[in-house]
Amino acid sequence: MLMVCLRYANSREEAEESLQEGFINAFTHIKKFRQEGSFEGWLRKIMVNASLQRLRTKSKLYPVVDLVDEEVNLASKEEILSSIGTKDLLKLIQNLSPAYRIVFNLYVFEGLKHREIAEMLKISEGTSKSNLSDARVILQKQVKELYEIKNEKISIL
Amino acid sequence: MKKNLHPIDEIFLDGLAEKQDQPSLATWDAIEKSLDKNIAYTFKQKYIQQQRIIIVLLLLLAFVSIYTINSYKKNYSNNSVINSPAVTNKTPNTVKISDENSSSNKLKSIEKKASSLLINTSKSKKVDVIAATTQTEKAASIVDAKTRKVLHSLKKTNKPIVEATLKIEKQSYPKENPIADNTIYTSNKNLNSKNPLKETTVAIERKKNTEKPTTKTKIATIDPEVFNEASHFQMEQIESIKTNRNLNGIIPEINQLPLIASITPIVKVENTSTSIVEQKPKIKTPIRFSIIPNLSLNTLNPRIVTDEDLGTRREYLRKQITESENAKIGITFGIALEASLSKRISIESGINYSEKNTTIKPRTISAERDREGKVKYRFDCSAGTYYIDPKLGTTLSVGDSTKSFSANNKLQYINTPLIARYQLVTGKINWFQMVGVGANVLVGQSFETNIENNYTEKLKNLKTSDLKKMYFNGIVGVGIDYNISKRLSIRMAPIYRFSITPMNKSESIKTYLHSFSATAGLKIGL
Repeated sequence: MLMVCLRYANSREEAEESLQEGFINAFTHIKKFRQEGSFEGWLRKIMVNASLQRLRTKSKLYPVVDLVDEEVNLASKEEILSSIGTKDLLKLIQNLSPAYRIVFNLYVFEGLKHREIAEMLKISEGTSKSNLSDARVILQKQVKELYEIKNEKISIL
Repeated sequence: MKKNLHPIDEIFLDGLAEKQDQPSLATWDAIEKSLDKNIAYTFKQKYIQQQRIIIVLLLLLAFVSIYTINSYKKNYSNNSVINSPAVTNKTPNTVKISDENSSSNKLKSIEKKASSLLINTSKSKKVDVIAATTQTEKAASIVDAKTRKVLHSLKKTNKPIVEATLKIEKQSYPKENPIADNTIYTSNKNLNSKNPLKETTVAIERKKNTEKPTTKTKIATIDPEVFNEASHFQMEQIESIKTNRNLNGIIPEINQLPLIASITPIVKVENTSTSIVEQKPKIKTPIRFSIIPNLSLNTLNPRIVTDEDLGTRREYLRKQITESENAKIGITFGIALEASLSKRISIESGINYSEKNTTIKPRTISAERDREGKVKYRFDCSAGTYYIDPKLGTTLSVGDSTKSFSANNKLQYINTPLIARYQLVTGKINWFQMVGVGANVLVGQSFETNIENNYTEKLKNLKTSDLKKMYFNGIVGVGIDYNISKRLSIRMAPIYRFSITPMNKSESIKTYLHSFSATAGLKIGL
């Protein structure tokens, strides 16, 4: 559950605070768990909501930059994952602006559709799509840069 | 997850989705602290709620008691006021009673009227009627004691008016010749010319004393002629009434009167203006007591509360206890004292002994330090935590485990209930509903188990310090009293008892005992 919170948070401290709030909410409202789905799924949803709540109180959920969708040529997934570790990937997500980060997380990790994201965040579906697209552009660039840096280091060594 | 993800999505999904990380210990501490605060608040709220329920029940009980006592006092004072000397304007004089004017025709007429009246017994309306008469108006009235409404005015007459009261009975009389079948007597056995007739009771009773009317609920004015004519049937008891006493009066519409069972002419007034008779107040039996030896079979259902902290050890324990414990049918017996405050309301208290037995399925137990720091096997059950120290074998270390085979836990309580009961009387069966509270005092506990210790070792009479010495429970139920006789009835009642306070003082596991009882008892009127 900490990983869930980490993906939404700006830092580990924030993630732990979200985790704490999430657990307290879960314990308080355990009676509402209907035993229909998995408990993990229910708890994960609570953690996501706790993380979103924290972000809502801190920042507004709209993009702050306009990005041009450029075509970025990436190495294969396996090559990238062999070079870039979990912490680096997490850091890249955390570096995204909250609006992009939330939409990216909800779409990619939670498997929500744009319509569901739009309802959840009270934004338009278009905004959701736009944010996701922007998040992807940013992440592509950053992954490429990071990958190149890592490879340079390896080649120097 | 979506199938058609962007390559960058897949990189992040594969790189992060399955990864795990552990929060710092400080995070867990913070969660525990927050939960403890929440738990404390929750329990405080629950405790306050329970306190409120108890207060409301006690207030309800107090209200019912006060209402009943007031009702009784009101009835008493009504009788006193009506019959108080202050209301009497004149000192009653003597009355002349004579049977000289009696004639067989009149007698037949009265018999006929009385007969028609008595036949209508079942139709009679239950009203309290007082006697009232005025000499000036020379008329008598039957007045409702409660509403003071005149129910029936007697004919105006120039003749002196004699007051009398009728004691209206529930008991009906046979159709045929009701008066002739009955005897008449007077309560005043000291009548003579020197002792003026101040109060005389003349009653009609059946010769065969099998259906002697007992309940006297209503009073009405009766025409003295009835008394006069009825005196034809006087027996030895009435002989002291001198024949020169002349009872003159009016003949009311007797068949409009309610049921007559007995006639009580009280004060006879001649040449007086107004007279309301002084009469001894009729005191209703205020409180009737009954004792009820009873026996109950209980199905026990402990509700275990662990502050809802799923995922922690407490929740694990709660689940383990809930799943492994089976309550046996327990027994409760004792004696209760019931006080009937009114026809419908009664309160009950008493003393009961109850045994609560549970069997616990086999489980693995591990060694921990007890409260004194000694390492023993720890066994958690709904009553609390038992620390088991095997008599044989090597010294235990923390973390050692063994198998506990079947275990039994027996708790013994003395219970003192306070119950308010509301009942409806339908023939031989009294239906009642009850609500109350009870205090349960722990008088004994015994835990025994068999553990695997190279061989099976049986450990008996283990105690836990987690049990409270007393806990409170609420009681609700319905039932019936089947009246075998006037003083004896059989009671049957399903009763639900629920803990208001937990039976144990453990911080981690709180057990609330709920039980459903089938109770049978014998109600004996005192």
